[in-house]
Amino acid sequence: MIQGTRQLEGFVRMNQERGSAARADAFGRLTSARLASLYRLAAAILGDPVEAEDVTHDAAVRAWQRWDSLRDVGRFEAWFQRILINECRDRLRQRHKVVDVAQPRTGLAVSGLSDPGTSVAERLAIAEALEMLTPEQRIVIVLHFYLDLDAEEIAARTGLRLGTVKSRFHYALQALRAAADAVARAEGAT
Amino acid sequence: MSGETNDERLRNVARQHLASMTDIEPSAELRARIEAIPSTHPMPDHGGRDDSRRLRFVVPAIAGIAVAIAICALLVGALVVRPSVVGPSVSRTSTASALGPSASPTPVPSPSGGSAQSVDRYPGGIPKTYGGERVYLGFGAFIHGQQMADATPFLAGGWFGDGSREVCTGGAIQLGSPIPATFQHGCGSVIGADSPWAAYSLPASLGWIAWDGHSLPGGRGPAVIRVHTHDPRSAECSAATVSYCREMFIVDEVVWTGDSATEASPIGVTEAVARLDRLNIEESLPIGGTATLAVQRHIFPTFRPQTCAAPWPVATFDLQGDPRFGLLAVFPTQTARVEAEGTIALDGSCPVDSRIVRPGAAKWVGVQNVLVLAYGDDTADAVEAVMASQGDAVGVDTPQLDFPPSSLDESYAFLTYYLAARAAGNIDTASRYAGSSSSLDEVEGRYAANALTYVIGPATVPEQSQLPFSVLGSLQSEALPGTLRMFEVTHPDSTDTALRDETFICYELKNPQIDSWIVVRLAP
Repeated sequence: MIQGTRQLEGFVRMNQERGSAARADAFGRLTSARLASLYRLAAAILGDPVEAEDVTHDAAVRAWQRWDSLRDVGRFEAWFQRILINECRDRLRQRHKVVDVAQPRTGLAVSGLSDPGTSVAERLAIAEALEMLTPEQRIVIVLHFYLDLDAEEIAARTGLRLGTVKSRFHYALQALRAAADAVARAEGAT
Repeated sequence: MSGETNDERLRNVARQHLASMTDIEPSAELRARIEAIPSTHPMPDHGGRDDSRRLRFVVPAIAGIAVAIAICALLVGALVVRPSVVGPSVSRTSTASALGPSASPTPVPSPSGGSAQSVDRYPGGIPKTYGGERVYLGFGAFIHGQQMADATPFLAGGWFGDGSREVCTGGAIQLGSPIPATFQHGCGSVIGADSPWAAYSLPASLGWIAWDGHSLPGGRGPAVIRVHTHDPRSAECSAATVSYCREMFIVDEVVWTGDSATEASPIGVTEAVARLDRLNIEESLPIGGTATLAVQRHIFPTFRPQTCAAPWPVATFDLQGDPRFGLLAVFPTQTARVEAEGTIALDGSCPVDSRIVRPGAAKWVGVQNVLVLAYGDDTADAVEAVMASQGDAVGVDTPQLDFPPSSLDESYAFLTYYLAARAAGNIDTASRYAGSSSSLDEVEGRYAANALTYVIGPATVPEQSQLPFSVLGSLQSEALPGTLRMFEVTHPDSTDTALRDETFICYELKNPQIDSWIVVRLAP
């Protein structure tokens, strides 16, 4: 795997000095290899697999247009993730701008439960609480819980200051905790 | 799971939820769309690895930095001004050394063939005529296109994005049945862009533009385009989509993309807007116990172009959406901005709405060629940080501001934001204000009757008997006590007496969701 990556890096480096056709080829190879993981990250942030396809496409357009700013091909995935995260944030902010407050969001299906100890109500509450987070908080939560990044890695991936990451995570976790507590109280009452 | 602490359980539930949402694969269609990107999206020139281009860029950059250092030396000790107190003044100057993307150096002919200064323009700089032909602006262009009976071309002006830089995909519309390729706008921009912000924020409610192979320099900016509606090919559209196809703007020609009066460097108008929009106004509000809910205020629903005498630049805008922001002025160059600060009366020659209650002292923030009027130290700091960052940069930190204090009476301010957004055709922003959901038909009627200009009467506190029963219930459950205000709004130019007067109430929400204040229109 490592050898394959190095070969690919060499291929890309060589091709960057050639024409646009070679760049397009390199872009295609790198993007295609990481598409599934990038798409899933967008879906986790947005909570909507359909919208995630659009955002992944838009991020790919932007990545292509900035291809020459990629200095280290070995960092392609992290570089693309930053672009994708920004696209997701813009989309979430736009969603708040134009969507009627009362309009329910789609894509919050709670299928695939594997842990019988987790109640559907609890999962639904967490899903709703995730929806209530600001785009910035949601991104931090997803990067931590989905990609298992720590605060420093999240700061590097998003360009945020470490303190900002920590405070956003703190407030986001508070909101999720409040949602879970509410369910626990309701279940205890029944 | 029984041995878990509550926090561990919470984390596990969140992880399970995210894992279940991501048990998916990208579709074959997405793969195909991404594979096609290099052939459908040209790589911008400025991103190329052309070393000779880089060298050419480095020299002016070094010169620019030297000039900036010299200017900074002159300005030491006078970083921030309070224009309400003094006249000639200087502003804080960014220490950012990197020059932003430069404006297109390509000379563009002025619309009339004369000098750029002699052109008759709409506020903001879009020419009113081109080659003797009328240019319809923004919302007016949309209305004109709707009223056309055939495919006769006309000129539409405003701030546009040609789709190459916008977040808008084929998924943005769902018409339910296939339409001819001409009308698949893809990333075509929306109509109604009579201010630079609207070019990015307006949803599809006003309609779309098919660029049909045409493009703008840099993908965005002020432009005059020759378009037509009622394209004969719309006959090929299905019954469900035919009206959408007929009303769509099809671009025939891009005839103007700015001139010496509208070009700015190193920060162009659209770039300045993009940077300001990165400001994040957010507050965590208590929702019971120790829990909090983060709420964001979405600022800048409309950048209202202003007409202010020189040396104010053509690109001067009234910032809407939060009373801590006053004006945005984008000068042609940094030198022009610095020179202007020495000669213009920053406290009154381009006035802001004095009825809006501001929470702090007025401060001018100057960054490169841009000047922003902000109120309060925190706001000025945040504006400086966000303007000094590259708006398009990947992973840029988002400067953050809390909401203004809840004691601030924002009733009048929010009413003006609503009325300005509606007048600009920004229907979806306007409809965020509960009870005031202006339909497009209604706003079109107002446009036809010239009933979108407005005069707001004094604020009053309404008696209970003045309010309909349906509103009283919402007030009791939603309104922060003591914040209710009522305004009579007159549309003095209205040719329809039925549209001449409106009554609005405004109040602060106990539990904000998107905005902390709300505007409700009472039945006339």
